[in-house]
Amino acid sequence: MRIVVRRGLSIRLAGEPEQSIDHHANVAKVGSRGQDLGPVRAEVLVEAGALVAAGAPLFRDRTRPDIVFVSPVSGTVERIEIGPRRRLSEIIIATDGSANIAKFDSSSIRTRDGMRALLLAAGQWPALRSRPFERIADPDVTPSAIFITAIDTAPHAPDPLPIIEARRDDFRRGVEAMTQLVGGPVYLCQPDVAPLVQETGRLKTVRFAGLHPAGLVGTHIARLHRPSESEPVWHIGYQDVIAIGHLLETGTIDPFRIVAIAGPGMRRPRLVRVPLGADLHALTRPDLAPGPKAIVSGSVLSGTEGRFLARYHLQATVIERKPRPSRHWLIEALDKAQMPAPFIPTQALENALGTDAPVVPLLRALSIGDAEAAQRFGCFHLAEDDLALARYVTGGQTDFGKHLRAVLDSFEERA
Amino acid sequence: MKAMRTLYGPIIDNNPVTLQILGICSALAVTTSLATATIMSVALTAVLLAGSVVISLIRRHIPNSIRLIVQITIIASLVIVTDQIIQAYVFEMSQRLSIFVGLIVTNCLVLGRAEAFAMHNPPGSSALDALGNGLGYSLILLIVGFLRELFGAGTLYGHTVFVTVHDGGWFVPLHLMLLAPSAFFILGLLIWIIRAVRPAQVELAEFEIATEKEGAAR
Amino acid sequence: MGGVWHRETISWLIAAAAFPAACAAIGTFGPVALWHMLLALGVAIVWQLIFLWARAQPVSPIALVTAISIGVLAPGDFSPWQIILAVSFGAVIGEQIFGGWGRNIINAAVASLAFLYFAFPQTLVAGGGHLLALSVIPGALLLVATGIVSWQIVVSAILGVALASFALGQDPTIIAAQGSMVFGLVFLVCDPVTSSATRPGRWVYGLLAGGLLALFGWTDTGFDGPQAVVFATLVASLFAPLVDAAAISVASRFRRSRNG
Repeated sequence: MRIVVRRGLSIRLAGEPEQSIDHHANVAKVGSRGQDLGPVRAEVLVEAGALVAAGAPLFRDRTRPDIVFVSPVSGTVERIEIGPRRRLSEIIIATDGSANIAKFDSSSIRTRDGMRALLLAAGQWPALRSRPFERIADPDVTPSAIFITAIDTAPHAPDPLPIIEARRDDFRRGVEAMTQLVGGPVYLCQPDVAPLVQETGRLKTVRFAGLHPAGLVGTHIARLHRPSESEPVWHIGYQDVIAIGHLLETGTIDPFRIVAIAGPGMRRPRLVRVPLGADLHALTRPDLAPGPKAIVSGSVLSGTEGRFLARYHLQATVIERKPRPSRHWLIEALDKAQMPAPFIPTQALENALGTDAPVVPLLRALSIGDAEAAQRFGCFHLAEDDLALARYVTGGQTDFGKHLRAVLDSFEERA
Repeated sequence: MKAMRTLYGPIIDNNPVTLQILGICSALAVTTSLATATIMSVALTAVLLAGSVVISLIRRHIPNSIRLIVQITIIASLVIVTDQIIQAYVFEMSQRLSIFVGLIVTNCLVLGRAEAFAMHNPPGSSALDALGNGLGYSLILLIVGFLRELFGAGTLYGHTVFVTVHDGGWFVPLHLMLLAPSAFFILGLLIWIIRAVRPAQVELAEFEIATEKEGAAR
Repeated sequence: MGGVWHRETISWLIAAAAFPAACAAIGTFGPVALWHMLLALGVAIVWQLIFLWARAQPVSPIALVTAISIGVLAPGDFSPWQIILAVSFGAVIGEQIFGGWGRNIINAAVASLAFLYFAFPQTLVAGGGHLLALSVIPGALLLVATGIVSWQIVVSAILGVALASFALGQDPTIIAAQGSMVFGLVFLVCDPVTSSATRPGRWVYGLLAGGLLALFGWTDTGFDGPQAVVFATLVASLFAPLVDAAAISVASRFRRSRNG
């Protein structure tokens, strides 16, 4: 199946990365962020100073204790940062280069329960996220479909095809594992080239052509299989699928990801092979162009500024940090006290959402927190990523992602 | 005491026109001049007063299943009497008011007070409530009529206040004031002013504009 | 940091697109158009500042566009207090009480002009000729190219004018030579905030606006003055939310039947 996404926008940004992979990036510290777990409280399982192996559990979901986050590298727990309201901010691990890796029993994976148990134990379950609400998938629920995102149209994202080509067997194994987890269809969403895997009864390959947001999973879900509260869908990225394939073959986790470090602030934008949660500040410091910079984990559209690579991000962008101009105190006060300015419908905004939902009424409903209207227009297949382009188009004036999150939270509370 | 509150409550705090938004159509139609507005106010207050007292007197004897029909019959009869009195004593006014005196029967204000208050209260309080509501309605009608006649024709009760350019003066009458939309605007501005002075009357907003902070707080 | 479609950028672009028409209007009608524009601009800005102080609503350069529209479409013999009253009405009731530009239902200039035409019907308002019509074209092209004005409304409005004119047995090309009609089509009917927000809704809205323009012009107000386009925009923008709601419910019913 081939789907052409006609609505989309091209984003011009300097600092396109070269597509050759640098395998010698040395990462001294990694950080696992508590907020990757979502709004749930994390229960920390290690202490500062403890020695951890790669694959050892670091923290888990307090309400669902079988979902654990494991350490990507072997080393010592350097610091456990606690943030506001005593929530886990991040656990920072200093690598020691030893090959201390945990081994998992990958024998009983023929059954769905066995596969699930292995993924949970090895800390690979957080790779699966569920929509609506964009949370880590609930192991006790069977989704109606799984989406594998093997296409990335975000500005300066790494090209998935050579990465998948280099580890074809692991990828195939991981895709097969996904078909075992669900009874319904598995959609492999890929770029507009020859199919990456053989289609079987339930496994379908869908080729997407078009500009961003053609590569976002929200667009795929809207076109192929819309979720509802009672029938969620799960989605997972291609590099996590490769890691799962590696786990099934060797019984050890593969913490490395191919990440693009790019943007106008980098002198040599390139791809690097780093473990999850790599220290971005240390990685980029030798190559930064002069001037104040902001180092963003993720794409320039939907990324967040931070020191460590977030769990689901496959790129980091370095952009100029604009100095705040000093203004008269009265103008500053008036500015701060103002109500948020409304957005103006333009054709660019119409093309910023990949779905065929009515764009302007949906964004207006989100802006006032009208949950019923937003549901009627269709917001359940969306997450903050999908609205990042709309936010970018309005010059960052209105953060639709935050409004969407508030609306989705109100639905979650009711459920 | 309670009686006085029944009387002056409906004038501002519980005004039937500006708070409950009842009886608007006659407020738009007859306020092109102060004279017609005054006659209409007096007529409605009289009908309201007499109707409420009568209905209150027989309230225990009206069968529940036909109470609305009985109320309308009483009010209609009173309206016919009022209409005849106006035709007899102020015939030109009656011509200008045309059907609107007869439409007092359909004015939701009259039936509303009968149903809500007169059916459940003794004649004394019903009379005070009717008088209060009538006064509240009259106040709004007189204000709107005052503004419309003054700025639409430059006169008050027919006496020239601003000399129009037509008669060699300086005042350019605002033709819009003689059209119905102006009454809507004046009523709207009046409601705005009253709610600015009495914020308790403002209804709760169904949705608020989402600010950045709300998204972050959980 | 981000894309360019900030609310302020859009309002400056619309003002820039209206600038040639403003010059053409001053050329056609004389300095009276300029005085009206400046007065309207002053009044609009004063009201924006009052609401900034009273309700924390952000100000916007859209006051420029409102002022230019007043100057182009009301060049008649109005006295200053009449312009002040009308623009106050339009700015406050048409725009500010809803929360400023971007949250309004009807265009502030449309509200002001409708007030002017209804309140002072004896003042004659001229329509503007070929020069005004031609001066709108570059601005219109700029707005369509940048996507601020959606071309669907332009096309469907022209279509609506043509269809309604033929239905009435009249020649629609006369309307195209009328400067104020062309200006109203681009800057009033196609206003991005007050026109329909859904894609199919835009076609219906454009047809409605164009049809009403032709209907009002041929049967009631004539095309000597701009009344037809102002009233047509007023009615059409009041119907725009209804058209949107209908389009959405039709689309969702279609989608539900397709998804099973």
